[in-house]
Amino acid sequence: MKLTAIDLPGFGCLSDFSCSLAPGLNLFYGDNEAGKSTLQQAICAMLYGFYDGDKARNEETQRHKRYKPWDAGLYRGALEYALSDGRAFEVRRDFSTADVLTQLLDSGLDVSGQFGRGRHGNVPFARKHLGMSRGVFESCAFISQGDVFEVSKNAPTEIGDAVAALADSGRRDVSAALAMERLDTAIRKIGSDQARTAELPKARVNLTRARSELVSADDARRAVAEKAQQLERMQARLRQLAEERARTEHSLHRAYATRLRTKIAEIEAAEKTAAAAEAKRTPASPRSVTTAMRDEVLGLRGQLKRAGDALLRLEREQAGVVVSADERLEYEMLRLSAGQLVAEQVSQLERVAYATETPAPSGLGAVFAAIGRAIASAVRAIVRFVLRRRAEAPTAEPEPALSVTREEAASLLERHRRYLTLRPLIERADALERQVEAERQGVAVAETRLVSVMAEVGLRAHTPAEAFSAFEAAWNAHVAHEKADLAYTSAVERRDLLSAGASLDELRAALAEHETAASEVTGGRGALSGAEVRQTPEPLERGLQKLREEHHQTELSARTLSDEVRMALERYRPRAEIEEEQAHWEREVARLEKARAALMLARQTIEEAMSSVYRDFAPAVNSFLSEGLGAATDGRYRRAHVDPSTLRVSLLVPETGLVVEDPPVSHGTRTLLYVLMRVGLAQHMSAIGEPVPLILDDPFVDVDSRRLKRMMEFLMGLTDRVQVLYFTKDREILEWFEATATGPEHRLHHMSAVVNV
Amino acid sequence: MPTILHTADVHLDRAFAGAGMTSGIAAARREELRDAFRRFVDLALELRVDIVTIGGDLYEHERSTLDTGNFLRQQFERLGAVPVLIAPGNHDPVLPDSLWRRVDWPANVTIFTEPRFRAVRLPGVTIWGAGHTAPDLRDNLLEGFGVPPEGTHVLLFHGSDTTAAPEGKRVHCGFLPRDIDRTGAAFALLGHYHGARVSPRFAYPGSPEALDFGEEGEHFVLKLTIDEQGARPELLPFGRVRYVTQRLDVTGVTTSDELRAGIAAFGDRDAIVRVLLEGELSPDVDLDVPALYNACAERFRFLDLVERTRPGWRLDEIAEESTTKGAFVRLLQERAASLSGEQAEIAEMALALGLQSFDRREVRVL
Repeated sequence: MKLTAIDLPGFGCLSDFSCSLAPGLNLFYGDNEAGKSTLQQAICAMLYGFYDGDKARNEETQRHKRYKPWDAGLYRGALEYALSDGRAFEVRRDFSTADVLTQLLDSGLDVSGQFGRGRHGNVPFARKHLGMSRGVFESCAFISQGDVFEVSKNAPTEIGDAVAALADSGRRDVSAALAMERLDTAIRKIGSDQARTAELPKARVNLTRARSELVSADDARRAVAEKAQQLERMQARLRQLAEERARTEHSLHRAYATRLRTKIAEIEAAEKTAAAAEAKRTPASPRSVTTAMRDEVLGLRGQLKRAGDALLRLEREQAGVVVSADERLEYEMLRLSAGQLVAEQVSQLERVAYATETPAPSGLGAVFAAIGRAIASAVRAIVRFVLRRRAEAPTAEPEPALSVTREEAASLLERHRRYLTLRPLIERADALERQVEAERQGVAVAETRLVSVMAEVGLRAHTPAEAFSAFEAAWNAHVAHEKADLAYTSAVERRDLLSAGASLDELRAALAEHETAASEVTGGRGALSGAEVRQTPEPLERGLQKLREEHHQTELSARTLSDEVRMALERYRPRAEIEEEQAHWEREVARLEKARAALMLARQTIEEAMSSVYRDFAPAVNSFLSEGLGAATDGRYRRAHVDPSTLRVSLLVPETGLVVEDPPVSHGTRTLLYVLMRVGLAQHMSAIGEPVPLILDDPFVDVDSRRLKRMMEFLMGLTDRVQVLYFTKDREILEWFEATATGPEHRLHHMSAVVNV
Repeated sequence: MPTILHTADVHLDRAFAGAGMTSGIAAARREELRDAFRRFVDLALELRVDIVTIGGDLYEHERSTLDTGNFLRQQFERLGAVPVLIAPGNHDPVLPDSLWRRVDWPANVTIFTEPRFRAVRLPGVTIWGAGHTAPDLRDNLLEGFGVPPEGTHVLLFHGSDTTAAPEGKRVHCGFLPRDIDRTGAAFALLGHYHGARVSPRFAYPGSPEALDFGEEGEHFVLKLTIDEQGARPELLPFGRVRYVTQRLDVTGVTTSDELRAGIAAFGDRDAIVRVLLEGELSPDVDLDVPALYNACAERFRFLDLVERTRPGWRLDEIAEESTTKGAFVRLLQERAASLSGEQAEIAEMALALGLQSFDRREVRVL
């Protein structure tokens, strides 16, 4: 593209500015404030307008406003240009409204519609005709003094970096390396699995944790479900047990009730018996009639009876053994006289008496007299006889013969015979008498004892018969009392045994309780009600105990299970929360993984793009750079090399003969280096290969005169390919131009200072 | 004649993972569902209805907590002697470990624990209910069922009218409307569909509160009056929380302030609002979704920001450049053209991120 004419009725400080441009080098010379920068902006605005999109951005609007004509003239312009293919166009823009009326004329015809007309005069013809966007055009085709000054302060490598940035993004501040660095930062922020603290690993850890928690919670819930089933079975068993227990309890209460009813009836009977016995026991009875007493009394009665019988028998016997007083007297006399004779004496007497006979005395007097005498005689005879015997006893000499007479002997024998006749009678009579006496004494003793016994028991009687009768009555009363007492005691004992210390009322209350309990247990279970109770309580109690134990055990197990069911889930957060957390981290992991993949793809693609661009750019700029640098440095640096991977510049240092990256060159050389690369870049950046006009704003202020001229000459040499618009206030360049660029393909444009009105 | 207040599909303990809610907001939503049920009981008391019925999915079994069981028991106790009849659904089936089994329900509560109809005779009406006993019960509960000719009979169950199943909604215990006619019942109180729909012979009250963005619009509970004219259903507006979807076209927006203002303009403290950020986003705009959310969230009951913008770079222009950036765009565009699905999305995202890396100090991953 070559600009051919520009007409600016009003644009910033420029008013009614117009000029025709030469195809080669156009030098715009003027002092400060002459409008050189404004003209550069005007060229850009004419080509690209102020607005890139349909929506006006603030900075675009500000720039649009900034270049309103100072003199309030018409804010518009026209620019003519020709393309390398020979086509020529004229662009007309009216900046006076935000719409920026724009026309692109091709042989007088408005062809702007062919480019897609946007708002605010955004007709992208320049992009199409130059093969680059406004940004790239501004960054590559415009080489300003400030830009060059800034970059050329740096080492050649950094110059390469600056150019690379332009090659990468069309911006001086952003290179592909920087873009990749930014992507790397984002990738690092998301992180890899090794970087545990970065977002993605953290999200993965959180996701794993949430998933694990959910799995655990679900496992626990499944366990709960199983346990709940077990619990349900247990509860069914508990209901069954409760039913059985109720039934058993009901039976048990009824069995107890039956037992209590029986017991109460028995107790009542025992009490009745006791009452009856007590009534019998109560009448007054001898105080202390005892069995011993009765035995004694009975003994006494027997004794008295026997004694009475004996007396009767003795008396009858006595009646048969009558001994008169005379006979007793006689007997006593005879006993004293003849009773002492022993058989030998009798024999002696008999011998004496029978030798002569003596007549017996007659009459009683005579008898007594005779007896007296006889007795006296006998006594004497006996005394003598006895004395003699005593005197003669120690000797065993034969008994001397009696010295009695025959009469005496006959009398003695008679008396002796009489004695022997009387003696059994007397002795019997005496014996009877003694026996009677003994019996009588026994009766007296017995009667005395009887009286004593009677007194002991508080009875009185006049006769033994009365006594015995009274005693017997007392005994009978005693026996009846004892019997009643026994019956009473037995009844009371039975009652006590039955009641086991409980009163009837208590037992009745217990019965009522059992009946109520039975009824309560029955509850709504009519089927139980009235069920016959055949069992005794004990087996029921045992059965109930078993049921209770099983119920208790089952209940405990159920409670434990229920607690387990409850506790199992208590440890976990509500599932909804875990699900939400899991979903959150799943989304986050997916987002980060996707972002990471996208970042890595972007980085990889930028790297590929950069290699591609640099690969094309480096060779193109290499020869250009060497040529330009050689010319500008008067052959000192004849070889320059641009690294195709970094666009960094290396120079062959003549002193060493080595190609050195980042060589220690002067500021001027660095300026040349940068401008040359920029020029090369500008030509390279057109996507369609259209030569891009270079707009240089006094870039060589720091270059010495010699190099400046050579550089200007080099630039002029480029103009067979590229149009150059060089803006300067440097008189030396003006002079050089006036002296050198004399052909019609070059043109000098003087710009006067604009007075701000 | 009796009046019945009916609800279904409350979905207590629901997870709100799908809506992308934070745990705090999801917990608040669950509390709102409880509040809805609390208000349902309040309404039953206020209207002095004779019977309360619940057509299933009162809670979500696999997410249920005993706390919810106790909450429900307390609410049912508040109803005193008013009979509460519950026909469990596919989300709250009668299982050994379900709340129906684990909670000691008050005497006024009847739970239909079998998948066949059982009658509860109440003054003026007999309610026939059936409950789900598994999460995937498919049988037509009405198959072969009929009510006795005398008396007024109302059915209560959780099932799908297969003639009107919403898209994507699974069919559980599907039936045809004529199946209800065939039973001879005066009316059927149902649950399963979350949107209210009333026909002369049956009604879905819908969920009393909207549960997600698919349930925008008003939500109800159902009052059924039974008198000489028969059964008269009436939907009572009930839901308090609305789900609303708004679209914000970011094309032409040049600052994040504009975005903030645009989102804030949709502010509605009674609504759960999903704002779809759409259109072409200028590269100049720093789209920081978390920051936007933080700046605007307080104006909403819940704000769900969904970023669906297209990057505002002029890709065709950039692709024409000879710069690395231009080459990058060309390469990725070529690559994306050969990809599909997630890989294409990744390539598209890579394009945006790559361009960001050229244009911004910091690459922001949305």
